[in-house]
This record gives sequence, C-alpha cells and structure tokens, in this order.
Amino acid sequence: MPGPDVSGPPPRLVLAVGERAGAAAAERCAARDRVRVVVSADDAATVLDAELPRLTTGWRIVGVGTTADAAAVRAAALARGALGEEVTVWPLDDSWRVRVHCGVCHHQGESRRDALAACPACGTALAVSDQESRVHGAVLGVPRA
Amino acid sequence: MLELRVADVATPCAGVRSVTLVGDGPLPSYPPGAHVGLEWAPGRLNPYSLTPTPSPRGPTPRDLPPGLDPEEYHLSIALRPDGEGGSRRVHALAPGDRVRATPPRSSFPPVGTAAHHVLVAGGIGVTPVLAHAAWHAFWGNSFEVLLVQRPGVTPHAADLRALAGDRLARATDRTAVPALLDEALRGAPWNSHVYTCGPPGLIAAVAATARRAHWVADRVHAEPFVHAPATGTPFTAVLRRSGREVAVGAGESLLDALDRAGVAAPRLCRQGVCGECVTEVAAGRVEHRDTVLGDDERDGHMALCVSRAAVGETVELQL
Repeated sequence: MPGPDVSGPPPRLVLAVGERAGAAAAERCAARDRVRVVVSADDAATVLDAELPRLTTGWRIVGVGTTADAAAVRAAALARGALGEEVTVWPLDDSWRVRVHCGVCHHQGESRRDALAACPACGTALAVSDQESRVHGAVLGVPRA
Repeated sequence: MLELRVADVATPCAGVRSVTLVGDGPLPSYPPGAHVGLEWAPGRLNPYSLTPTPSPRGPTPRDLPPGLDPEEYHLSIALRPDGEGGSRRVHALAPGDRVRATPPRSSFPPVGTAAHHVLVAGGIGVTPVLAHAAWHAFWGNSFEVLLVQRPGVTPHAADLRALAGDRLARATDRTAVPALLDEALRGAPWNSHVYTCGPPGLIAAVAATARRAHWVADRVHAEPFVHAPATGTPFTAVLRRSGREVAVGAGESLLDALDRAGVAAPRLCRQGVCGECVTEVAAGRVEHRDTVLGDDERDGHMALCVSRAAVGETVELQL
C-alpha cells in the first residue's frame, strides 16, 4: 500500500456493515478510499486485522452502518491503535437502535434507545443511558433500582 | 532531591561531556526519554536526558530492561558557552564531586500501543533517542532512527548504530533531511508514532512533514533542547465560546492552564515553532514568544504554547 496521497484529503478505509451501509459508503467515497463491506459488526475486527497492516500512518477509518454498528467499528479501530481523531462514523438514519453495555456483567446487546432493556446474558433490567463509550462502542445500560 | 556522586567523566566528542552518576543507595528506575533536573547552582536546575548504561556487549545490558533498577545514571551534555552556566558546571565536574538532582521525570515516553516508532535526533538530541532505541531493541519493537548530525561531533552515534543497525539513517547534509523525513513518514506503517529531539528547526520540519502526510498531531512527539520560556507573569484568558475564564499561573504556559482546565486546544511542538496551537485572539495585547508567526500574523493571533498576555493584560481567545 503506497503512502498517503498528500495532495488531497487523507485516504480512508471505509468499513460498512450491511448492504445498505455499503451502498451509502459507495456514494460518499472517493476513488482512493478503500471500501470493505461486512455482514455483521462482529466481522469488523477481522477485516481491520487484515487491512490495517496494508495501510500507512495517515489513513483514516470510517465506520458506516446503524449507530450501533458504526460505533462497534469505531471501538474495534480504537482497540487496534487508531486515535480518536482518525476515526469517524457515518451512522445511518436508524439511530434509535443502540448497542447497550450491561453495567452488571459487561455483556453487550442491542436495544431501542428509548426502551428499557433486559440484558440477554444476566437478565438484569437495564435503563439505556445517554452515556456512550467510544472504547466499548456502546451506551451504558444502568441496572434499574 | 537525589544526592549523587560523579563516578566517571568522559569526552565522547568535542564539546560534549558524558557523566556517570551513582547514588549512596538504589537509584529510581526511569522510562525511556526521561530526564533528571541537575542542580548546577543553588535552586537552579537544568533538565538532562538519561542515556542507557553502556556495556561491553553494547549500549545496554541484556538482562534487564533499560532504566530498570539502574546502578548508574548517564548523562551527555553539550557545552553552551553562552548559556546561563548549567553546562559549564557539568563540564567542570570531576570524579568524586557531589551533585544534586531531581528523581527522573518522564516527559518524552514512547507510546506503548504504537506498531512502529520513528525516532529523529539532531545533534545532542541523540540522548533521549538513544534511550528510546535501547528500549525498543530490548523489547524487539519495530523502530527506525534518523540521525541528523555534523560529521564527527555527535556523541553516541556508534551506540545508536549498534542498536539500530540498518534501521539507522544518517544525514550529515541538511539538504538531505527533507527527503529522508518524507520517506520515513510517508511510508510508515499504520499506527506509527514519531519522536524528535533536536533544535526547533528540525522539530518543525518533522511536524510539517507529518502534517503533509496526514498524520494527526497526537502521533507527533517532540522534546526540544532549546526551550522557549513559556512562563512569566500570571494573567487571565477569557474563552469567548464558553465564556470561561482560565487563570494562567506564573510557572505554567497558557496551554498548560487550558489542559488543567480541561479545555481542548490544538498543539504539536509545544515550543512555538510549528504553529499548530496558533489561536485567534479577540482582545488583549500579547507578548509573542513564538518563532512561527510573521509580523503581519501576530495581530489577532497567538501561539498558546509559549506566548502570554502582555503584563497587565487579559487575552480573549476564540476557544
């Protein structure tokens, strides 16, 4: 992979989760960007592990998908050494769905943003908070009293 | 303060004195890039980088990580005849002399999560870079070194060569530096960090090259050995966007005060040479100490890292 083309904006590795995100990414990307489409956000880590060693410092990473999926891509990138300024997300319009990080057992599951959730692992009833962790790629689920 | 004794002195090259210091007991460990503040007159301290312990097998022993439980501290200090006196004091030291120093302070550490480290040294700036190189060599980390030197006058060049081997590139001609920097930074693998110790011009050149290659500021680290003083009379900065007031103490820079207040502000070189922290000034006269703004740019702008409000003034910033 050659070094970044310094004549324009930084080149981007765009990781889209799902077909709809892939189509959205294709519309917004430039020719020198690398677009990879995965079926599930769980595949983001595998794709990043394969792609990042081919890149040079200076590239940016973009996560495209639902709010939850884009956040998961961002968390996977940060876990692999990306700095916050190097990662952006393009959430699609269904931002009412979020990934919820259980404050009791740390399991993650999806929920509606405005709903009360039950942790699928430990069963604790959780209130979906507004506290979003970029590292975990999820919002905090607070046990209901 | 540590009470230390000079165990040995050497002159590795013209104008540079290497000093070996020992304590009366165990010495504190230190990370690569750390320095001690050596007292050269009562209450006057100069920071000097710690270099790894030399050994017959190379510059560092292989049994312990460099800097861990050291038996000695090693410093190499360039003589500055026109300085305030710190380097002259060191160059006059002889075995048996006693000196006082602060415990090691880490101000220039390697980033533990980096996949690759680009080390750039200019002149006596080789000292912390040597410590970084010894650390990476010990742990088997990926690194490369660019040494900018005048022929025959850089200490530790042989040590650096022993550590880095073919990962060391040397430039004895300043005109060769831009191309070497460009090659190193444009081709650096994902998740690299660059660390520069040298004169302000070299630090600025590295920062500019990194910026052109789209590196973000947090991947660019620098330790100047010619500091622009950032301290002075206390003043207040008013942040226009939030309406907050930040008090800047006598012993800190405006950038330090903003950090303390939790205000995000851009920065890169921290010595008034790269321009990354230049911010619009809405009101107030400024005492400019940077070397990046032209006269026509100074009206309405200031470098947060070194410049201050003029005495008796309050500056209002577009932050």
